[in-house]
Parts: sequence; C-alpha cells; structure tokens
Amino acid sequence: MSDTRVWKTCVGAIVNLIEEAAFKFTGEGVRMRAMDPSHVALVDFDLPAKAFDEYEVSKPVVLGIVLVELNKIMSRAKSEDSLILEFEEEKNRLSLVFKGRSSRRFNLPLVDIKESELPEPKLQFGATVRVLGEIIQDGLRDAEVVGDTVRFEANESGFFMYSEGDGRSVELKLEKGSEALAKLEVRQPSRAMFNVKYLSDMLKAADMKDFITINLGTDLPIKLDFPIAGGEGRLSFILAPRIESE
Amino acid sequence: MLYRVLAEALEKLEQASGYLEKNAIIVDLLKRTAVEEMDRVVYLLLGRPWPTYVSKETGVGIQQMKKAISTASGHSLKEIENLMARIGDLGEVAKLLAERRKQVVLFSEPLTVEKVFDRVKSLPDVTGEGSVDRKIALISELLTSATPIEAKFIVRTVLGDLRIGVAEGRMRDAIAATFNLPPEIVEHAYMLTTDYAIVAKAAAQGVGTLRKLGVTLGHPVSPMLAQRAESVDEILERMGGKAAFEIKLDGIRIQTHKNEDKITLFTRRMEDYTSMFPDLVDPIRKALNPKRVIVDGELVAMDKDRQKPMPFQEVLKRRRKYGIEKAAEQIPIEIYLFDVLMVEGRSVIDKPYKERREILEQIVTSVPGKVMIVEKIVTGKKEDILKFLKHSLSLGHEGLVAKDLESPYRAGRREFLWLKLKPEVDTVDLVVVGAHYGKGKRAGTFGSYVLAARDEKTGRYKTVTRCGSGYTDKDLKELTEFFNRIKLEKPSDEVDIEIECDAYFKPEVIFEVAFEEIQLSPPEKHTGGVGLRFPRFIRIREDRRPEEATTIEEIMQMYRTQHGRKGGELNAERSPFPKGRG
Repeated sequence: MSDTRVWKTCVGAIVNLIEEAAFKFTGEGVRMRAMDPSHVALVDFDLPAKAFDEYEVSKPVVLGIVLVELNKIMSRAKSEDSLILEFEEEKNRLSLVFKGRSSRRFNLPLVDIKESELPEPKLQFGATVRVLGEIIQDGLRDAEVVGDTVRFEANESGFFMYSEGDGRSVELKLEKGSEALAKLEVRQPSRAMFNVKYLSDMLKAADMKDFITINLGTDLPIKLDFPIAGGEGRLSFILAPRIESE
Repeated sequence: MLYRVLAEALEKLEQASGYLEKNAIIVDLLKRTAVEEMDRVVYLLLGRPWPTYVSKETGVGIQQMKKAISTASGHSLKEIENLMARIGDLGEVAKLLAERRKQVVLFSEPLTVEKVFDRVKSLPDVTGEGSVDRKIALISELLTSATPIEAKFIVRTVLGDLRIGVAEGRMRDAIAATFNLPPEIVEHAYMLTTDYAIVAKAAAQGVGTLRKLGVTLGHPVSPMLAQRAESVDEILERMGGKAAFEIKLDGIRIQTHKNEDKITLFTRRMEDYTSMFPDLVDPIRKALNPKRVIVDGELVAMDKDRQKPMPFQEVLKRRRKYGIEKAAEQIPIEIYLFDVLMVEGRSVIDKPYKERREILEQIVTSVPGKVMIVEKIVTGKKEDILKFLKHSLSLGHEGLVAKDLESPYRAGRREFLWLKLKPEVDTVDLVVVGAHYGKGKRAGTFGSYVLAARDEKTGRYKTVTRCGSGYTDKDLKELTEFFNRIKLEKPSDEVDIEIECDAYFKPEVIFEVAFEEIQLSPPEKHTGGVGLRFPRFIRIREDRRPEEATTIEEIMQMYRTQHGRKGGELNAERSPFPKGRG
C-alpha cells in the first residue's frame, strides 16, 4: 500500500489501549477487534482489500502482533514510503518492507493470541453527531487541564463538552449550524461522562481535518468512528462511561 | 471454581473467631473443591500461589497497588490515600471502592480461581523495562472484573498479607476432616513434602495416593528432632543398652538438596537459605558424590584464630544480605553432615540409622574445613560416653546427640529415638507475648518481657514467666526498637494472659531463657499453671517458630524431674554434670 500513514496512526492510537492484538487477514481485508485489559474500551479496525494497492491473501490467517513492537517499527516509516506486509508462515513472522529511495525490511516475530469472540454491545444511542477532529482534540486538551473526566452532551441546540475538577471547569460549545458540526441528529438529548485519557489516546487516530462520527446515549458507552484510508476503511472505538459522581 | 466462592470463604474466615468455626469453614470449602483445583485453592487459602518454603514475592508494593486500585475503580490516588489513612488496609479500601466503582465496563466475566491463581503466580516473572506498569495493569484487570469481596482478597493476596488467621498447621485438621482421614497420616505426608496443597490434592484422591507421597528432591523435609535426655543412664535405658553418639553442634540445621548441579539449602524452618551461604555451595556440590541426594546436617561458624565454633548468632549475622561476601571471609562456615534422606531418587528415610550412616559415609567425600561428616562413636559403655562428651565440650561444642541404631528418620518428629545430652543449665524456648517499660536507667525501653509456653492440647500460648535480666544495654535497645514496631494494644487472641502489660505482641518471637527452678503458679498469675524462677535472657532463637516453643507439658516434665533430683544421692548419679544448684 502506498499510504503508510494509515497503519502508523491507527497503530499509534491502539497501542496505548492494547498490548497485543490478533489481526485477521481474509480475502475481504484486514480486521481486528480487541478489548483493553480492563474491559473499558473496545477497538474495531477494518481495512478492506480495496484500500490496498495490491492485496493478496490466499487463505485467511490470524496474526498475533505485539503492538508496542509494531508501533516502534511503524515509527520508522517515512511519509513518502510505501509499505509491503508479508506473512512468512514457516518462520511465523511478519515482514514489513518500507519502499522509498531505498528498501528497508523489518521482521517481526508473531505471538500466539487466543482469539476471543467479543460480543458486539447492543446500544440504543440517543444522538449521532459528526464533529471536526480538531474540535474534539481541543476539547480534550482543555479537559485535561482541569480534570480526568469529560462529559459529552448533545441536544437540539448543539454539541458540548464539559469538564470540572477541584473547583475549576471548562466548557466547549459547538452550536447547531456551525461548520465544524457536519451532522446533529438528536433523537433524545444525551449526555455521558468519560475518562479523558482513553479518549485522548483514541484521538491519536484522527486526522484533524477529518470528521469524527460520535454516537452518544445518556450514561451509555460512546462510539467513535474515524474514517481511515480516505474513507475506505474504518477505525471504531467503544468506550464505557464513568458514573457521574453525586 | 469461581473465585467468588473462595473469596467468600476467606471473608468468613476473617470474621470467625474460634478454632472449630474456622475449621468448619475450611472443610466446607475443600468439600466444594474439585480434585484438580485442590492445590490452587489450598495455596490461595494460605495466601500465596506457591509453597511457603519458596522465598518469592510478587514484587508489588503498596504504592503500585494503590495505582492498580485507582485504575480499576476510577478513583484518584488522593482519594485512595485518604481512605487508606482512615481504614488502614488496602484490601478494605479496594472493597469499598469496588462498591463505589466509577468506571463502567463494557462487559465482565466472573473470575475463576484458576485465573486469579495464574495471574498472581505470574507476577514475579514480570521483569525488566516497564515491568512495574505491566504488573499494575495485570492487577487492575483482575480488579476490574472483581466483586467487592474478591477485590479485597486479590489485593491482600498480591501484597502477601491475607490477614485471615489461618496458620499452615491448621490445614492438617481441616484436610483430615474433609477427607475423613486420621490427622496423623495427613501430618506425616506434610512432614515429607512441606506443602499442604500437594497433601490436600493427594488426600482428595484417596488414602492410597496420600500414603504414596514421599521425599521429593527440591521439597524440604521436616527435620527429625531430638528430645532432651536427663542422663546417660536414661539414654542407655531407652536405647536398649547401646547407641550411636554424635557430637552436638550449635549452629543452624541445614538440609541440603542436590539435583545435578543445583544445590538448595533449607533451614529447619524450611526457608531457602542458599543465597545466604554462597561460599558453601561449591564445596558441598563437590563433597556429595550422587547426582541427586538429600542430606541433613548442621552448619557452624568457625573462629579462624581459636579454631573453635562461634556462637550461633555469629552464623545468623550472615543473614543480612548486605555484605555476605565480606561475612564469608570474616566468618568462615563449615557444614557437618549426619544423615541422608534420599539417594538418586530413592528415599532412605525408612532404613535404620546404622544403614543410613553407612550410606552417608559412602556418598560423601569430605572437603576438610568445609564439608565433613559429624564425628560419632557407637557404644554402650558409660565411661566412653562421658569421655566423648568431654571431648565434644573441649572442642567448644554443645554436647552429644544419642541416636537409636535401629530408628528410621522420623520427619518432623521429636521422639525418644534421638536424645540430646547437654551439660548446661536448663534452658527453654519461650514466646514473647507482652512487655513492661523499665524504670530509671531503662525508662523508655522495655525492661522486661512476659513469656509464654505453648499448650500442645489447645495450641494456645500461656504465660510462664516475666523475664527482666540477662539483657545487655544493646539488647534492650534493639529489642525495644523491634518490639515497638509490632506491638499491639490488646493481647493477641492466641494468648492466654492475666498479667497486665504496657504492650502486647503476636506470638512470633522466641527467647531462649535460662532459669533456676520451676514452681507451680496460680492460673490468675501465670495461665500456664507453672512459673520459672530467676529467668535470664540468653538469646533470640531466630531459627524457631512459635509452634516449636517449649510446651507446657515439657515444663511440667522438667518440674517433675527437678523434684526427683532434689531427692539427694540419686542426683549426681542421674545427671552427667552436677548442676550445682538446689
């Protein structure tokens, strides 16, 4: 594939949540679903075959990858490099070739990971919004200044982020009709609180110019969808809420 | 088995007070445990996912645990610090915060005993860069899925402090009751394996499997112990007119396990002390000819100049990890072997002493000044025995141990098959249970300690004396510093005490104490019913557990023979050395 950035940013965002992950390569594409060890966040990575320049998978394989290691390798990719992923079955390793002016090959040994079937949480969200990545990122950085949690809220008048701690507070307003709010669909006014750190980690996968789709429900998990590979693929996160303190 | 079942039993055990009540809870738990889970359940009941003799820690401290609880509960470290200051137990803090959990999870699976066991067991192996954070993550993952009670006991297990008052010894009765077996068989299996988890698992498979448990390389065997003899005559009488006499050394009892090149040294408390004596490992590996062997012996420290053994404490000084190399130079140690338990995978403990001694002599190539076989004679002649005793004393040793030529190696037993003959004044090993502040020069330090003997029938500690002499100023200072750290407001619930003290202690520390005379005492004074007159502190017995303290019955026995001795003529005849008192 000619765009190394997809792997680089996705792995960079996931690595803070999950240590090891099982990537499933099938004829349709690459898929990875995993939950962080404390069962607070779920990652769903889906990159279809058509997002690759060339894609050849003769039989479906599941590759167990230590993400910290993969992340270190991906950080060596240059933006103009193209990336070739090769699975060497007999050596049980993945090789990653960065092709630019030179050709650099990394070999990464694979690990055994129990592939667990993760249930898809059935959630009845009350609101769906699409917000510019940059706005969310600003909101989270603001929230980090005052506390370790952030409340997301969506109602007819717009989308809001609010955080407080030790008497300090910060609020972000994005009113209906704003350019940065591409979609505001409120079936029911919704609000829920989350751990800022988890969200900040997830936001690493977002391009600031992209719009993030957020599904929200009162005291329900939040679902964040990032378009990847020019909208061909998808990276989703589901994050369990915090209980609003009394 | 779900971990919830175990955690709930632990919670009940913590609240139960009586021996029978606690026993019933354990029996109920073991009855609900499948054979294949039995070892894990027993290990976790005793607080660690490995046998007690393995000196291993999870390596997770209070600070890391606070972080793990913070991550799992969503409460800040500051809130946890505040709760900790108020409650004083991180287990309870974790329980409380699990009840008030702020972070919701996407889905949770109930914890199993296997998952918790494997996880805690894996912690010591998490090493290297980032290991602290990885350990915190591994624990917080468990805590995230835990119910409040589970969280409490996960935290305590990881910290290595279960606080439920289940001593290892209690498992004997619980296992016996669960599987309807005589306690002696269970105890015997334990003496050979030092591991109640293995014993329980075998017991669950039937008495046949339990009886098959034997001496295993790498598992310390409870050492056979000697009774005290009053006289040479008594020894010859008990041993049928003839016995083996070995020099009795005053050092540390050490059981050596050799498995190919690996040498492990266990103390009589079954602690792994290999790292304390690095200078002994090579010589002992060379001295033992078989590839796989277990031998028993006594380790002593030698004074290089005087060519005499040094006091016991000198050996223990080396225990301080810091400066072992230096200590090895300054205080050279030697080991004297006197028994063999296993050779090349075959147990020899059931062979008679005389055969074992022959085997020992065949399999050991002495390394002079390092590894030797203890000197012995076989005789029935009183003069020879007394001459040999003098020889032992002239070398600076303690006396003699007489051994029945036909006796097997009775692991963990103190019977009349081995008898020790010491010329010294009588001493007893007593448990420290309370203390009083001194007056005048000794103000601010504990000036006297209340000491207790063990009542073998009930397992309780009963007071027999209050000892205020024999301490150097340095002793008093060090003892005060030590006991101040462990003092309690009220008497420990294992102790019967009527004397009011300034401080009380859990029965943990043993004093060796000399005394002049034993007299009967009213129970409102000494709950043991006997009192020691003119007690004098000799030393701390760091090698003894409270369960090994002198018992009330033994003191009563001494009381009876003391009166016999006072009878006159017989006195000098019965005792090898006149005690010069009375």
